[in-house]
Order: sequence, then structure tokens, then C-alpha cells
Amino acid sequence: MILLYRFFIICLISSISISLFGQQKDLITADFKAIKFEQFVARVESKTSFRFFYNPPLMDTVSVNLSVENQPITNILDQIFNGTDFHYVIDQSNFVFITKVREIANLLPDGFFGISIKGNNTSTSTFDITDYERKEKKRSQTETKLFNIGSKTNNLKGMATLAGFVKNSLSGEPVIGAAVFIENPMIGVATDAFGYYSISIQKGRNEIKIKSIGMKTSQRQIMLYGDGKLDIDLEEDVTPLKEVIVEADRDVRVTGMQMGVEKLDIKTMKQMPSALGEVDVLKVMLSLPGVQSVGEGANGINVRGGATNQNLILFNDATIYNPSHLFGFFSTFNPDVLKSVELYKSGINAEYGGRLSSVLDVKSREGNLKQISGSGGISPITGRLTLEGPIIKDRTSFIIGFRSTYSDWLLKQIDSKKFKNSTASFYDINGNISHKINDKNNLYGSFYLSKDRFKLNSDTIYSYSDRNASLKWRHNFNNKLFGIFTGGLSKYSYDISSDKNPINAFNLGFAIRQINAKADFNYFLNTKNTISAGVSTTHYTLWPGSQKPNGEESIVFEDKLEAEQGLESALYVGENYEVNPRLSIYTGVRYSVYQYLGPKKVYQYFSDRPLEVRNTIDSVQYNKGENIKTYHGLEPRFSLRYSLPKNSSVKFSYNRMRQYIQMLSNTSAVAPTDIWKLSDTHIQPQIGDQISLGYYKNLGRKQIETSAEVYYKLTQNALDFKGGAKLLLNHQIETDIVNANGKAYGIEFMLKKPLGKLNGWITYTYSRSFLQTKNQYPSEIINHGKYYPSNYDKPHSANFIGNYKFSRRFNFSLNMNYSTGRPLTIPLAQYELSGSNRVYYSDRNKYRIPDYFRMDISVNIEGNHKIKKLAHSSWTLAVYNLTGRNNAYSVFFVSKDGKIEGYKLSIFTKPVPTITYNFRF
Amino acid sequence: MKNIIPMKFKHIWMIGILIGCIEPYTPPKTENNPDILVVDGFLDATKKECIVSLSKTKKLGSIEPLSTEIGAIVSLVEKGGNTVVLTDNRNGTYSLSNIPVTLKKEYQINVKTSDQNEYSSDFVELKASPDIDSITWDATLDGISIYATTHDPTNNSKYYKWNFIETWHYISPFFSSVLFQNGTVVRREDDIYNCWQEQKSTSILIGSSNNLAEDIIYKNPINFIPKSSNKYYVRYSILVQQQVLSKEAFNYWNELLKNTENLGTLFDPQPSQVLGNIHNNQNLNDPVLGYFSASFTSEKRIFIRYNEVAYLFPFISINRDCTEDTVLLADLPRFGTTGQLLTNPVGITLIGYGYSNVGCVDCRTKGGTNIKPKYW
Repeated sequence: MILLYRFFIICLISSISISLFGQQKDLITADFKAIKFEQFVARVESKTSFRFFYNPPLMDTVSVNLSVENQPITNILDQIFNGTDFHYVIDQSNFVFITKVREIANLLPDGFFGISIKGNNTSTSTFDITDYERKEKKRSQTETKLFNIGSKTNNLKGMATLAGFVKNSLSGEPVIGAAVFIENPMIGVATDAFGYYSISIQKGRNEIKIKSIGMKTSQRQIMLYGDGKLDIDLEEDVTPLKEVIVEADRDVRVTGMQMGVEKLDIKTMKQMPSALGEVDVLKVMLSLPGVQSVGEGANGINVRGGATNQNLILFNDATIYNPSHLFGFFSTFNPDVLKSVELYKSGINAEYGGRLSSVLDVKSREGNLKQISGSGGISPITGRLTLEGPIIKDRTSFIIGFRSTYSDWLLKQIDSKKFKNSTASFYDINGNISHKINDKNNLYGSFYLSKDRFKLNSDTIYSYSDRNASLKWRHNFNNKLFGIFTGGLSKYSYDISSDKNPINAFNLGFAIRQINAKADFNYFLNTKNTISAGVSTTHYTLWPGSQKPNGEESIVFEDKLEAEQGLESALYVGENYEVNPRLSIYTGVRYSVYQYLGPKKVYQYFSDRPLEVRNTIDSVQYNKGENIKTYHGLEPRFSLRYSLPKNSSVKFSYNRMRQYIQMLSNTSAVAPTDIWKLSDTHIQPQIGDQISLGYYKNLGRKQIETSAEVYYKLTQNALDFKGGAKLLLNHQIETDIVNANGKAYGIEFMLKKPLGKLNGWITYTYSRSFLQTKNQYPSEIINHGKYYPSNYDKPHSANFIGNYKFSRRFNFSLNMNYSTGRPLTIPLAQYELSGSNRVYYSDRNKYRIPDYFRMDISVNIEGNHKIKKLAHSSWTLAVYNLTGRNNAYSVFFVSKDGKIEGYKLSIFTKPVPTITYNFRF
Repeated sequence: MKNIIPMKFKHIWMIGILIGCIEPYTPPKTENNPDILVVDGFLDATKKECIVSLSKTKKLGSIEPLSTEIGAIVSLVEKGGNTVVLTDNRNGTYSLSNIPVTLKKEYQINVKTSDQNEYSSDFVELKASPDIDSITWDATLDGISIYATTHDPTNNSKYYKWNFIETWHYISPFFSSVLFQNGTVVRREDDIYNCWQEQKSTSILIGSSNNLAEDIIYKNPINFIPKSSNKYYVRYSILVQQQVLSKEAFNYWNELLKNTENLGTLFDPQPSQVLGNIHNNQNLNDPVLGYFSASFTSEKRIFIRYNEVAYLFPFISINRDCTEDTVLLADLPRFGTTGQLLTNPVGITLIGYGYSNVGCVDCRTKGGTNIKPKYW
């Protein structure tokens, strides 16, 4: 065997790709009668110039029994090996190599020397090396090949910029966050959301290395003469080696510029236990420090003491107004379509604006550029299917995902009259198309549609839907400058209708539409300096409410609140500057202008009296397009990272955000009937300032990441409501609103082990969030004008996420979640009125509901890992709320039959097991 | 139907799909009782009667009797007219009958408590109430729903409030014809088999036609008799009283409704302090609870017989947990001390008497009276 291999290598090195078949000269006539292969060889070698190379023990079983006349050796060998897995190959020296299973290539592959030999080779069958080897070879070829970049010149002094896209060689999708670097001197960049990188390095010979999660590490040899372009295809690591994962992200927490950011890819999220059998982006976010919700089954998230409407939720750059399905039990993001999710809690770059608390940037995958593939899953409540593939191979691809519930069916299965008239269902569809126009231009189109409809043991049907579409054009002006031009349209609406009482049958509607356009530019000034800048504008149209009769008998009169219009524009510039290897600074500023536009009737009130309907003086009618009120202001952003010895660093950030559109809700949890409101003459935009300081350290060969972050946040013009505010169809809604200032502070600890058989994280957060009304009239003051805890003030919170990989096919995970109960307003006293006991509430949010604790487990069982098979499948068994604890969702007091009764409402009171079947093809 | 939305959210918690659950909750001990005055006043123009009750708040969950305010001076003022002083009934209520009233005039109550605090209500307009067009009912397998329908051709009413008094006729499981008295058995003269029980509404029943093109209230839910109730076993009657509210009064009651009745959903409103139209004259920041309103009233009564709903509820069982046994004549002297009552003679020739527990024989033990109401 050794001889054989050695020979093989010699062949590879020495042989030249010319036509072979020397053996055709030797025709054989012989009678082989049941002889051993060895004897056959001896006879042939004695009569011809052929020399055989093989492993004798392997050929033991082969006997030759045939008679030939003037036959070429190939015919004879073909007959002998027909039906066996032996292969042979004959080179021009008439050496015959016999192998089992694998064939030997006695030629260098096509294009090894840049010359294609296609056409003059008629027997390609001898090149049938296995797919795996072919790829390996191609990879090693490209890795060893020297790429000449830039026009050849003798001047190799100075720097040049190399840029290009890093893509998945299999699917053609961009690889995001891949590290592209050279080692000496250590210069590196990461690819952006498009897989684009741009790196400035010394001209001359360089070895570029590329590393990314789940992809095979690769390198390219380049001769850099000047600025140029190099696209890199990375192969997926089918059986991811741990080392590869280590390399990818291990330093980001310490060395990265950004603080207060949580980035999770879909692979991590898929490992976490899920309620109701679905990977849920928002639920995963809730296991991170500083992210909370009012309760399970509550829509939305509260980030660092901010309200739910203060999160900018982007799905492929389009704003999502309601990210929840089915009262918050599901998020509207189909896990099969997702690529990654990033949550910015502080140090938000100037690029983002419009919401105070956070940016949740959800990105979907790009479709497979090479072949059609799909995935899906089915759980007791939902079913989903995703298809993707090329439209034009290697240029245009699509991905489309559909998900729907059949919980409607589920509700009907319940043998209880209470559910007799109940239905609840949702669906969502999202997809995108990406098209590569040429090396410099890429086009991305994305759409999203989600709809919910429910009716619970009543005659009233609620439905809401989020629809949006965006188009993005990426243009590379040159290696250092690229621009992204985005246009988008988002529409959120809801509808309530009832037809039980024919006289009162009604339809209530609310809708908001935003049209936005923006241009973002990124300029790689040099290795130390990157500048980003852009402009954006968003036009809002809001239909605050309409009421229509439903049916012919209905005498409900039509009432329609006047539509509102607003225009929010912004200009920003930011610079990332690496002062020295230890110190990096980001400085940015965003200037935003908001105009509240006509046509609109605006009420005026006595300035020296409380803002109440009875204090209305007059109203002013503004014409279409007329500017009613303008707000504007600077939003400075600043972050700093200073590296300390021993894998640690300190980061600081400050940011100011302005928010011109807010959600009005007087319920503790987000209800599907909450409405949005544009800032206007009476309702000022919200302004938030946050400073944040963090310390990061990686321990034990960077295997364990630790971090501690403190923050302090002030909010101006947050909104709260007078007792009994009426939000729907309120013509003078400003009279039901009180202005509040908010403050929030906290400290977040995190210990994360991202890799290994056992991985996961532990977090602990201490945080507070308060509001204070700042009005001067008693009717507008809550809690005597003192600070009171906000609805989502939960001081202590601890999370544990643990994953243990028993084997590649078997994965166990455990999730534990503890937090202080949310604030509660408890009646101070009771009294009797009209024959019934009533309660008297006083100070808001003075007490708390019982503490929250939940434990979930899940087990992932993968099918076998053969690369080639019809479909890959996996099963996920999960149990939500394993301990069956009755976590309180709310506590309330009602007058029932004249008496006061206190109740605790829990959503899940038993362990909820689910089983999900997932497949990929 | 201004309150359409909160009302219908009532059942949303059920989405806790088979798993949601509501348990009793005992609140943490709150601070001292704030001792706030509660004024519940109504001028019923149809009856020309004004009743005001004064009480105080008590600690949540307190089982102490209602602390009433006695010895106050309560007067009713007609704007630009007379002031009359109500009679102190010494039980926390103050009332006066035969008050001359005028439609659309404005009225106010003034209260001067024994601790010299003075309170006044806002002036409220005396509202007319249109007749109740009909009281109707629907029966389903879950129970019987009762509705009120009314309309005001002048479009002036818009906001309505209802109260009701329901009365139901019920019977004991066992009829008793004899009575054990002074060691002998005598014929029973009184009827302890047929009883009538009365109950007043406790929920806030309001409705509005404010968002309708005409002032019509069509089938506003008034009461629901669940299948499990015994109210419909013989005959049921409900007297619905209707009054008209001002917009402010409607908002007050609606607010109170949202704060104290329609809770327990996923989307409960924030509880809030609900204050009415009564103020402390010396200190406007001192909270006063309750409301004063004035309206003519209209009323309507309907009856529902069991045979009208029998097709839906054919298997009613009036003698749950009741058994009848026999006491032989010889054992009779020892009978009568154990809370049991005789029912009827037993045997073709008398061998003894049937007997059962008092609760199975005397219908009055179930809370009703055996005096037939006049309207029955």
C-alpha cells in the first residue's frame, strides 16, 4: 500500500496532462480459466509491458475466468471488475493501479495550470473521484493558488484595500460576521450583513485567513499590487469542529467596540427549550440580562426599564409594530427563515434612531444560490414550511417561509362549552429575493405578512396584521466606499367586529402606515478609521380609529378620527477610530427633525388649566401638508473601548435617542387593541439618555466570557394615563394622557461559556425602573407626584441556560428563569356602593405579585448525519414549566355578588410538553 | 355600548389553553384604613324620593360591619329653588319622600357630618327616563339571559343604568301536612312548602347609545341565571328599574365597572382611583367616594315559568341530599328534638309519619319567605 500511495503522489507531481491510453497498443489473446488474480497478473505482465500495482490481500477473492481474443487490457479489466467495487487506472507508462472503492486520479484536475484540458480527454470516467475529494482538492487549490490583485506594478510600497464578499459555497448565502484577517501584523475585519468585507493591508504577498462559525477555516494567498476585489467562498463545516467556533467570536465581547449588544444566531436559539414547540426570538431575548416582559403571554419586551413601544424592531430593515402572535405566546418571526438576531441595549450607533430603549435587528437568510432546498416542522400548534433556491443560479435566489397555526383546531378539541365559540389562529409569510446584478451591485427585496385573528367565547372578532416590504440596493463605489439604499413600507392595522347584537353590530379599525427611504454609506478610510453616514426619512400616516356599522340592521353611526401625518427625517455621521491597539472610540451624531403635518383639526386648551375636554377653547384647522408642529434635536452617540491586559477590557457609552411615535396602552400588558400615536402639539416626543459602563474579561484560554455592565437612563415625556383613560375613538386623546419622566438603572452580570460539550450562560440583573408625573394639576398627578415603579420594574432577575451535547445527535438543554414579581396596585380599602362592595385603589404599583420562577427542558434528537439523504430530520421534545409552578400573571380584585374577591391569574399551571418534528431537504 | 371592548375581553384569559387558572389570592396587609367618606345618593323623581347613604371605607378583607355615618345633616338643594333636609334614619341612610321635583332642574346634595366636615355634590340635571320597551329573555343550555330594550325618540337619554330585583318561587323537597306540637301530631296550618326569595342586583348595569345613530338600547344584558341555579325551578320574576345618567355619571360607573368587575383578563386596565361628583368643600384634595344622581325612573316586570324552559332543563333535581324516613307511632314521643320535621302520615292505616331534615321540609330555611308577594 505504501508503495502504491507513494506512487500515486509521484504520479500527481510528475505526470503531465496529456492524452494517455498507451495500453491500446497491447492487445491480448488468452484463455484464463478460473485462475487467481495474482496468476492473471503474472501472465499479463509476462506477455505485455503492463505493470500492476495493487494490494494482494484485497485481491484474494477475485478470480479470473474468461477467454479473450485480441482484446485491449481495458476490456479485460472491465470484465473482471464488473460488479465489484474495484477500480483501475492506467497511466502512460502502462502502470496499472488497482484500488478498492476509490479511484485514483492519475491526472491533475482541470485548470490546475490554468489551462483547461476539456475536449481532448474522452475518457472522463477515469476522473471520477468522489465528490468529497473533488471539493477538498478544489479548496486546497484555491487556498494555495496565488491571486494577483490590482494591476501588476513594481511599486509595492504602501497600503491597498482588498474588498469582496464572503459566501457559503454551497448555498451562495453571504457569511455574516466572518473574520477576514492577516496575521502579521494582526489586521482584521469582520464581514457585514451582506458578507462584505474591506481590509486595508500592506501591498505585496499576503496570506488572508477567513474564519467563521460553522464554516471551514480557509485562507487565500494574494499578491496585492493595488486596490482590488476578492470574493471568497467558504465551505460549510458539516461536522463543526469546536476549534472553528472558538476562533469565530471568542474575542468579540472583550475586543469588540460595541457594548450592550446581544447577538444570537439561529443555531444557538434552536438549542434552547421552547414553549409550544417553536423557536421564539423574543423568548430567547428574555433570557438575556436586561430584557424582561410583563409576564408570560404578554406581548413585547422591556429592555433596561423601557416600555415595550421603545424598541425598534426591524425585520430586514422594515419596522414591525406588533411582533407577537396569539397574545404573545409566539413571536412573528418564523425560525426557519431567520439568520440572526441582534439586540442593542446601549451604545446604539447613530445609524439607528426613532426609539428610545433598544434596537432589535432581525435578519432573515438569503436563499440558497445553488439548489432548491427546504425545511419545515410541525408541532401540536403550528406547522411551517420554508422553500429556497436559485432563480438564476449563483445570481438570484429566493427564500419564502410560511407558518400557520391550527390551534383553532386545538381549541375546538377541548370538551368544554367555554371554548365552544372560541377560535384563535394566525399565520405569517415572509420571504426575500436577493439578486447580484454584478460585482458592484446587489439588490435585495424582502416582504413580510403576519395576521392574527381570534374570538374567545364571545361574539367579537379581533384581528390584526402587520405587513411590510423593503427593497435594498447595495452599491460598491469602490473598495473603500459602499452605499446601501433602502426603501420600505410597513403597515399595521387591527380590526374589531361584532355582529351578535344586530342593532349594535360594529366594526372598529385602526391602522398605521409608514413609508421610509434611507441611504447609508460606509467609508473605510484606513485600517484605523471607518466612517459611516446617512440620511433617512419616514412618512407616517395614522388612522387612529374608525367605527362603522356592521350589517344592515345596525344603527351604529360612523365615526372616524381624523388621520394624522408625520414626517421624521434624520441625518447622521459616525466614525470608528482606533486610536491605538488598546483604545477605540466611536463618535456619532444623529440629527432628527420631526414634523406633524396637516390636514388636521387641532384643539386648543386654556394654558392655565388642566388639559381636559371642558377646558377646550377652540380648534384650529390645518390644511393638507401644512406644518403643525416641528420638533428636532441632536442625538449624540459615543462609545469607547479600552483594552486591558489579560483578555479584559472596559467600555463606556453614552447615547441620546428621540422617539416621535408612541404606543398608547393603559393595560399592564400590551393588548392587541393598543394604538399608536404620533407626537403632536400636545404630546411631545420622548427623549432618552443612557450612560453605560462595562467590564469584560475572558477566562481560561478564552473559554469563559464574563461581563458586568451598569447603566443609568433618563427618559423625558414618557406617557402614562389618567385613571380610566379612553383610548379608542377618543377625539381629544391628549386630555387622557399624563406626561411622565422616567429613570432606570441597573447592573447586569453575565457568565457565558459559548463552546464545548457543556455550554450556556448564567445572568443576574439588578435593575429598577420608575416614572414620575410632572404635571401640576391634581387630576394629572399619580402617586402625589413622587416616583413610582413602572409596570415592568422587576428588581431581581436571574437566568440560566445550559446545553449539554451528549453526542452529535443528542442534545439536552435546561433553562431556568427567576424574577421578582411585577408591581401591583393593591386596593387600599373597600366600601359599599349600590348594594355591592367596591375597592378603592390608591398608590400605583406599590405592591408586587408573587415572584416568578420557571424551568424548562428540551431534548433534541437528530437523525443520522449522512450528508446525502433525502431529508434530514430531527425531533424536539420539550417541557415548558417543568415544575408546574403557578406563576402569577396578574392579581386582581373583583366585586362578585356584592363581595370583594382577590384572585391570582396564572397562564400555565402545569408542565406543558410539546413535541416538534423538524425536517430539512 | 361604550364599554364594548373591556366587556368582551372578559374571557381572554381562557387562551391559557386548558391551562390558565384563577386561584383565590390573599393580599398583603395594607396600611391603615384611609377612612374615606362614601356618599351614595339618588333622587328618584318618579317616587319623589331622595335616599342618601353615608358610610366609611374599611380595610380590605375586613369582616367588620359597615361603618355608617350617623348624625350628619343631609340636604337636597334645587338650583334657584328650595332646600330640603333629609331625615336621619339613624342607620346611615337619610331619606325624604314627597319632594316636589321639576324635570331638567338641577339638584345638589350637601352633607355636614358630625365632625363638622362639609361635602357637596356637583349640581346634576334631573333626567327623564323613557319607558322600558321590553324585558326579554333567551334560554340556552348554559342558562337564561335577560335583556332590557328601550329607546328614546327625543334622543336625549343616551346613557342608561339599570337595577333589578329578582324574585323566585321555590318549593321544599318534601311537603309537610302535619306538625309535631306539644307531644302530639296536629295538622299543619302554615305553608312551609312554597317560598319566595328576593335578591337585588349587585353588578353595575349600564349601557349607552352614544355611538349609535338613534337613541336605542337593544337587548342590553341585565341578568344571567346559570343552569345550576334553582331560581327557575317553579317561577321566576324580575323587576327591572331604569334610570338615565348624565355623561359624567356614565363615565363614573363605567370606570368603577372596569376597576372592580371586568378584571382577570390578559389585558386588564391599570386600576385607578375612581372619584365621583362629591367633594369636600374645605379640602378639594380630600378624596370622597360615591356619586349623586337624579332621574325619573321607569320599571317593568316579567315572569318566567318553568314550563317555558323545561325543554332545555328537563332534569331538575330539587331534593338534592334529601331523604325521607319514617318514624313509627311508638317512637313518636322521642321525636322532635333533632332538627327534623314530620312530613305526611304513612300507611293505609296509620303506622307512623314520614320525616326529614328541617332544610328539606321548611323552605324558609333556604332564605326565602313563605309570604306570597303581592304581585305574584
